[in-house]
Amino acid sequence: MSITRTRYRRKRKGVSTIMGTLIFVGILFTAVIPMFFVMNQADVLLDQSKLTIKHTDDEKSNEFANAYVFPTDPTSSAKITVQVFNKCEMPITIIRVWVNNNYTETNMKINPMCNDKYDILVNAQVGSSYDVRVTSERANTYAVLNGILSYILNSDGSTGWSGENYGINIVIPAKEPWMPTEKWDGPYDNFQVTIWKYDKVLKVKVGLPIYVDQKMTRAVSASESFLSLSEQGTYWVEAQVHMSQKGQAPAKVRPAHWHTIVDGDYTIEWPLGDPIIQVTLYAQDPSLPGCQTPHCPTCIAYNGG
Amino acid sequence: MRRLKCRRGISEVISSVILTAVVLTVGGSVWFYAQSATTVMTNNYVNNTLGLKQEIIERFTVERVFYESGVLHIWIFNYGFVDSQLDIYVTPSVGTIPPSLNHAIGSNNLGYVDIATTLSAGTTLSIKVHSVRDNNVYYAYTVS
Repeated sequence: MSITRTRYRRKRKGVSTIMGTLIFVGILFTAVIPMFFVMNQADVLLDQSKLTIKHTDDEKSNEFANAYVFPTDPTSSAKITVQVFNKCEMPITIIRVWVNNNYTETNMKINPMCNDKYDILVNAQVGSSYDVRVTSERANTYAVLNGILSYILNSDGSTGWSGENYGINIVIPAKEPWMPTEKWDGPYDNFQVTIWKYDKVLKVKVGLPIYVDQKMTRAVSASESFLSLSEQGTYWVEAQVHMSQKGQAPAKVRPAHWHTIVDGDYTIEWPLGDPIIQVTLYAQDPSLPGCQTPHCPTCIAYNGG
Repeated sequence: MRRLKCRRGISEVISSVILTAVVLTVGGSVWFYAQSATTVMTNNYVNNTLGLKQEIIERFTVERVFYESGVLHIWIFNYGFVDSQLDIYVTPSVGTIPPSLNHAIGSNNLGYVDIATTLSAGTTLSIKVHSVRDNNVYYAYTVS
């Protein structure tokens, strides 16, 4: 009798342990593990959002465009045209054009390094002025670089358009392939720019220079320097790069000197042309046989020209 | 004696039934409690995380400000991925302007706020746009 009961009890000894284990495993699989899964999923969503917004912020900060405004027809007061130049590597969508305190919805898609125009009907009256800016889809706002456009009464009684800003934008491109072999002064390449007003008929520089030896340096990539001018017309631009001495005496020596790389006239003829013109400093290779720069006697003498 | 012999295992059966019932009840309660607790914890965690996500992806900017005929117009562009509830605080260099609260601007929408005030030319305004998610944007404007 007692043997039978003991055997019976021994048979039932593991039931509660098994049930307890089953309950524990059940809790683990139905409550704890799903909790970790859902929490992990929420973390993944958060990380995804962080990544998305980082891309959005990066694109916004890397976006860059230049905008200009000019009358669509210089002889008509009806319309003005906004021209937007995409200066970055990404396509830009202009979603709004602001003229003074009103805006027009647009959908101008501009590919990298391309431009697009948008005409706005204004029917300008004498004395009216137009402060124009554009907004991109990435929430950047670009004011036009040539300032406020005005419709004015001229001194001779006629009416016409007048801009606010003119200028010359000096651009130094990234290093040209031959340049590593040339020794320049300083850690960066040093440039200087001088601008005169120029009489195209008499072919003479008028008065004192407007900008004298404006220093520019070239950083790692291309550099730009904007030189503002009060009026349109023809200007003489001289740009030089400083070159260090080449060779040692008694051998042939080229002394350190300012090497002229741009020496010519540029005309701002707005609104028929751009109010801001671009001058790019492409330095000539001074080691080429017979330096082709006619205004650089030092290089010509060194090269035996 | 024979009858007693027949009922000899009943107490064992009853006790095992009771034991099983107790185990199931206690286990079920623990199971239920654990599931409720983890559900609450999960909901809290997910809600906090999603709230943080909404805060992170909220973006807005002051696109245009101008003062005209006694009204300060402030245009705000919500370029983020969520709708925004905004409060606008304007601090002029001279005097005070009461805040303008609770302006809803949908995602990818341009909204505006008009504040009636008298400002003289040359007054500089410091504009702070504050969202209920605690994001801030600042803008400076000088009355022309």
